[in-house]
Amino acid sequence: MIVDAEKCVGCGMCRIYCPVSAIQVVNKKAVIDQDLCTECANCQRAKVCPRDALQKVPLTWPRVVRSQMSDVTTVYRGVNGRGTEEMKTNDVTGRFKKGYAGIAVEMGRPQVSSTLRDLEKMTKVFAQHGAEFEDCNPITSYIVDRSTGKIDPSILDERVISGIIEVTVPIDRLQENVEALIAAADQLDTVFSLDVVCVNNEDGTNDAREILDKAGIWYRPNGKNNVGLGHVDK
Amino acid sequence: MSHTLHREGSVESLKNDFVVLTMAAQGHNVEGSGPKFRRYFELARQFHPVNIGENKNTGALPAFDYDTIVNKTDDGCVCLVVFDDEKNLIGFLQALKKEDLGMSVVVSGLMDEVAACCEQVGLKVHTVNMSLGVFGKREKLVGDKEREITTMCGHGMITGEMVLYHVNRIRKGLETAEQASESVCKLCICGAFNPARGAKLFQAMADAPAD
Ligand code: SF4
Ligand code: SF4
Repeated sequence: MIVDAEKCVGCGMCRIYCPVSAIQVVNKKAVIDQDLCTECANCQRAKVCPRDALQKVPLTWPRVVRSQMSDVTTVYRGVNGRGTEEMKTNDVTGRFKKGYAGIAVEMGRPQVSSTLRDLEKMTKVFAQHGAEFEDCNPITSYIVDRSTGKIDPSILDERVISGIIEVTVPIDRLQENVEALIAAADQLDTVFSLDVVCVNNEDGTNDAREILDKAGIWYRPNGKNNVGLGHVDK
Repeated sequence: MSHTLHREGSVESLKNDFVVLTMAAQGHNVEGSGPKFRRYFELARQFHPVNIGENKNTGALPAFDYDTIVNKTDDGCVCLVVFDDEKNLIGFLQALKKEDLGMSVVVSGLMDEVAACCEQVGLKVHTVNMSLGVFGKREKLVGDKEREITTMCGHGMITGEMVLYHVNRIRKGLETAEQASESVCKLCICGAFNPARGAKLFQAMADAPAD
């Protein structure tokens, strides 16, 4: 995003709409820190600029990665937004099977943003602990070596509002992976939100939940629940 | 994408906050899903959702009216409906079960409460996604109270500064908590934001002594 300095009157209305505080008003003109800007377009979409001075510019590689991962209106493989179907359609796809758990590391969330360099630290942790990267995920498409978790070096300095790494692990390696991720958190210059996905048992119990309970690993009381209504037409 | 998973707040405040999402599975049931999604929104209408939205062709309620969102919904949309009341959630789940649209449905909310609502209508939770919280440089996060509002847009489009700006305006009598909530709600184009809960949180922040 850039500011047309000719048009800008320095009113500062756009400033509070930037999730990563990339906009400052200097000498009565808005200035966008291009390193911090994730190209999410929130400032422009908010339609608060009285002079229409905020302008999207065509992005080329590698900067285009920012908008692909940060602009909510992005379409990725037919799914609106940058995410994937993950457990949302698991009743139809069977992506997460019994005996396995899904783990997602949502780098930069909530609202701190992350460089791909920080994100790579966590893909490397997953690679060391036998995790399978999810095929249909934009971050996986940036991994050039799944055995090490190495990300395409040309994009490491790009910054995204959030980048979601999704993997599957055998359920008996869930605790090991979660503990390794938490231990690696202090190497980061950002935050991540951590998710665990698992199919319920017939009696309503959940193997991942039991493992987390036993290990004394805290989780929120609120979560996402696929209620099993999906099926392919008979 | 887990944009409805990491909502923060007390159990009490999360009790009346349910986001119900439906989407098709690529390669399985995308084709012909549009009419089913439109029916989904129609079924929801009688249970008084506080927000609805889809981010492919339109957006969410404050910016678009209900009929426009429904009419523009087509194959492959991701459709969200938000309730601030358990009874309405139960009613909607019951209606969905009866209608048997065949589309996957995910309810974000207190896990034990959602499981109990499912049980009441003869549904079983199939798969869960749990949030283990936030790790790393937590000092970079906005304040705890602001996050209760900002995390209702999981994509991070409602900023902490914006929340404080509106709290200030409520304190000065320039707007009501409801107006503040509706204003920030417009930035959440998927329709995941719960404006009823938002208004309560804004009011509580405005009523608290200023720092
Ligand atoms: S595009 Fe997003 S990150 Fe960049 S200045 Fe605008 S709001 Fe901030
Ligand atoms: S809202 Fe527009 S005119 Fe005001 S500071 Fe931002 S870019 Fe400049």
